[in-house]
Amino acid sequence: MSVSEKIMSDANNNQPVDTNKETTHFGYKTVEAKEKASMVADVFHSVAKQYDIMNDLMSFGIHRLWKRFTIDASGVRPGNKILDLAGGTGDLTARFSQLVGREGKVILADINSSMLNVGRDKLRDRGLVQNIEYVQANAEALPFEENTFDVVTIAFGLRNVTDKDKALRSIFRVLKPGGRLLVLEFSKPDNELVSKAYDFYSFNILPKMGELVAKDGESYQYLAESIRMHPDQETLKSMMENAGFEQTTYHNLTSGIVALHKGYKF
Amino acid sequence: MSEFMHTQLLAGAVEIILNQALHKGGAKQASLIKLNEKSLAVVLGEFSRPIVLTVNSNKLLVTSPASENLAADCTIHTSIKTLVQLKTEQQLTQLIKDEQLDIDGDIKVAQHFAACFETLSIDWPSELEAHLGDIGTYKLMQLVNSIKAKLKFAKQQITSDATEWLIHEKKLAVSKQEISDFIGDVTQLEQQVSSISDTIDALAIKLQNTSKTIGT
Repeated sequence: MSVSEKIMSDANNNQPVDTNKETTHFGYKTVEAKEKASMVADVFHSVAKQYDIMNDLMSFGIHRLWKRFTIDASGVRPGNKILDLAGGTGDLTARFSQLVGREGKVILADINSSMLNVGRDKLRDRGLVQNIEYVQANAEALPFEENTFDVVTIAFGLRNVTDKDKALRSIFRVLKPGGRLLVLEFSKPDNELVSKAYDFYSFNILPKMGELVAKDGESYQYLAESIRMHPDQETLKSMMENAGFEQTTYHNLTSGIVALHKGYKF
Repeated sequence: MSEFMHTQLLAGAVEIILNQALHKGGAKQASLIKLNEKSLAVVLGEFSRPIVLTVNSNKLLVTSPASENLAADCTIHTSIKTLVQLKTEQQLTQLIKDEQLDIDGDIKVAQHFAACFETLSIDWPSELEAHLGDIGTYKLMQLVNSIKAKLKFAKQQITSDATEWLIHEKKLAVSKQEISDFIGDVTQLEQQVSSISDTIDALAIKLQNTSKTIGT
């Protein structure tokens, strides 16, 4: 079985773990591991300006509810230090900034400069400036000291990371003891009917929507493929536990189309 | 639609409506400034998750964290039924005494929030319609009306039960006539006892005298 066939086979079994570290998956394609970051970067440079509109269109606005739920589950308190990893256009950062208050701090981090610029402009336009910092960072090698953050979130970002295990270990390192990681990510629907409808929507409607609105059907084809290649709920839970997280749980949202994983560092 | 969707949709809509209503009046801005970075949590017995209101930069944030993550400057534990009853300060004291309402933390925060809200006049159905749409609002109002009907029914039940208890109590209670008859019976019994006592005394004296006669 070729590496490509193995990934496809694993994807069908919802076990998309590529054991060969020299190569990885970029959607359904097999690519050199070192190339993935720049390929993902190209996708997000391309969609950055239309990202928010496309999110609303693609999810029918439900992504706002998923994000609200994530913040409610984070247990954020005034004075907390938050890292919004792969924070993109800053939806989570905006709300966290208001909840942590003047004594707290939110770091919006993203590997992609275009996404970070869009996020920074959006938050500044909304007058959110006093407790937010912007950092261009790779989740696999976070440029922060150990035990820095009370909460780390990564919403719709982990599936684009080349080495997810390394990223989880890096996040674990920067969390304070008692701190928690929240991973909001597309996952495996828990209902067969929903799964079929979701597949049809993802591979037939989503790329056309991307072509029409963002003038970039390929990026949205990648989005659909990358979701299918992402570890399912149980696999991601195990990965978090392997990275050192404890009391790891997940909550399926919208029939498992999205799942929120939560784990603590003690 | 799952519970999380209902909760988040409702919290989101309420947040927008409250902010719009709060910012219509300038007087309320002063109250909001006093509450900057303060939070009030309301834990209602009927719901699984608390509702937390936080003020930041004159904006009200409505969140619904898990109970174990609850952290607020003031927390009110109560129920919708109790809130419906709550109209005067005297009642508040009574409700606290009756353990139907509990306030933890800084009560001034609750008072400031109350001051902010007391002047608000919101037409909830039309405001919700703008955010949730016709069907969403219809469903929500159906839910609210169903809760109201349940509360009304519960109130009726409690009232009718109380009336029934009073009737039973009345049946058990002793009437004036019964007391008067009882007093008459006791007096009669006292007289009978006194008469028997006199007879016994007379017999005892008679017995004593008879013993003396035999002895001599």
